[in-house]
Amino acid sequence: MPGHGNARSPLDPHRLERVIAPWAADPAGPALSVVDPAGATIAGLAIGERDDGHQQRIEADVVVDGDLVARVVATGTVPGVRAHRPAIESLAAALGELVAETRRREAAEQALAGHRSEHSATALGINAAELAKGRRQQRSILSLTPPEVSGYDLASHYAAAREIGGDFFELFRLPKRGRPLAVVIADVTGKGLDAALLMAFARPVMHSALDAARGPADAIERTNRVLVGERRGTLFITLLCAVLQPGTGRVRLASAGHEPPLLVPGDGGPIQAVGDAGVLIGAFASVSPPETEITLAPGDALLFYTDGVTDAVAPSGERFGDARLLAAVSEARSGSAQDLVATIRDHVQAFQESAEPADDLTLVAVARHRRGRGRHPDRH
Amino acid sequence: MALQTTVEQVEGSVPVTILALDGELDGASYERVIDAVRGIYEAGGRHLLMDLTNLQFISSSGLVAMHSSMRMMRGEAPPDPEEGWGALHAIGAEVAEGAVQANLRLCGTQDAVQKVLDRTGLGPLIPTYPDRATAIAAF
Repeated sequence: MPGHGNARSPLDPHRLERVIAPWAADPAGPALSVVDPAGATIAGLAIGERDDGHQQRIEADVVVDGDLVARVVATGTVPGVRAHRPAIESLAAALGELVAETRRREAAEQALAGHRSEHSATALGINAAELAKGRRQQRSILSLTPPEVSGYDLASHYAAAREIGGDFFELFRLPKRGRPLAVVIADVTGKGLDAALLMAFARPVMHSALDAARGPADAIERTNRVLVGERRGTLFITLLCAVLQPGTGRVRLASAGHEPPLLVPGDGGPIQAVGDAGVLIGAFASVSPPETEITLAPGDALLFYTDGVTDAVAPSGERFGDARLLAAVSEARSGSAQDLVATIRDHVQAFQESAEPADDLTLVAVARHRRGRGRHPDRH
Repeated sequence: MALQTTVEQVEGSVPVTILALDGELDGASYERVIDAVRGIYEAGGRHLLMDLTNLQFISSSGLVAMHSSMRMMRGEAPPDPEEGWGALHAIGAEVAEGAVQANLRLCGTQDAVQKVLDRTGLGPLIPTYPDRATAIAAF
């Protein structure tokens, strides 16, 4: 639908207010605004008590194709602003991605419209190139450097489908006692701009919720509340969240309609799907996902994945399925997290042959080192 | 991979439109189902039975088609996926409170499909029957 470009610009003030509203709803959080490159406010929200005299201001640039298009500005108490820094940076990155995505779509639509009238085949080539660029940029906001966690290997793999949208995942340390590791893996249902918007919105909200929440189930409830309250949509998210205490190996996990992770015991015991799923988020006013607790013993691994793995299609039309996934996990079970992820990735790629994936595919593995082996000096 | 949709009209105690889905409902086909249901609603259909006897597979994107169909059959404006957030509509209080959907029913769900509906919480909201006859009689 060409000609609607400005109407759906992600930098539309009304839309921006919705995007930043969740932060403003946190009384301890910073006041947030989005300003244009000249410093004029496009949208801003400030709720709550924020004048205790020790204000800090941070900014994150929204950059598209090397141009500064806007800035996200956060002002508030020093701890409040610091705690929100990753979310604010994610927000700026997400806004940049949305602007870029909108521009690409418009360029591709214009190119298609123009070339179609000339009966030219190159229009399809341009469209494919634009989509490929979109995929690379989506990957760049996903592939944050995984944190170092002493005593554990972390590995991930993400492969984008033809269309933007779909999966996101994140691995980060929480600002709590023991510096627990949070793992979030999610699949936004649907595709296209709507799915990309929801992904860009949900990811920092979930990050922020986890920083503040009592645990993964609480974080999922908070995120759902924000999604349903601030955004009236037709798409949802299946999401799995796990919080690992590195010292003890204790893992709390909660699922919103997501595929359960696989526990791969280091002692050769059976591979098990862990935890029960609650309902997906974004669709219902309240959710209360069940929380499951397990302990990763030395040598154990936990594998998270999205349905792009089991739903991968061979040229024959057959799906990869649970049985092939289990076979691949069994083959790599004595290796590192990297081995586990690489083996499954290779099996899926061999199964798909040349078929282009229809759905995003994400794998995340967390493996606890065996005692007396593979230990690294503690790094902070 | 492909999905075929077939629409039929039958008379129960009320007129029932049957939308049979044959194949796989995924990211490549869910918008087609939304379009089909929109067409049925706009043509005056108010009681929709989705026959899933020959649906082998539903992905998470297929759930969007189910949810959108529930909303459209309740008479809410159909969502326009091209419009981003601007044109999105309020989620009905009915679904938000977990009320069961009466204008849309399912029949013939295979285990693999039922598993996905149940895992994600949509299953219990849509009355589901073993076959067409029982579903039509229940409208």
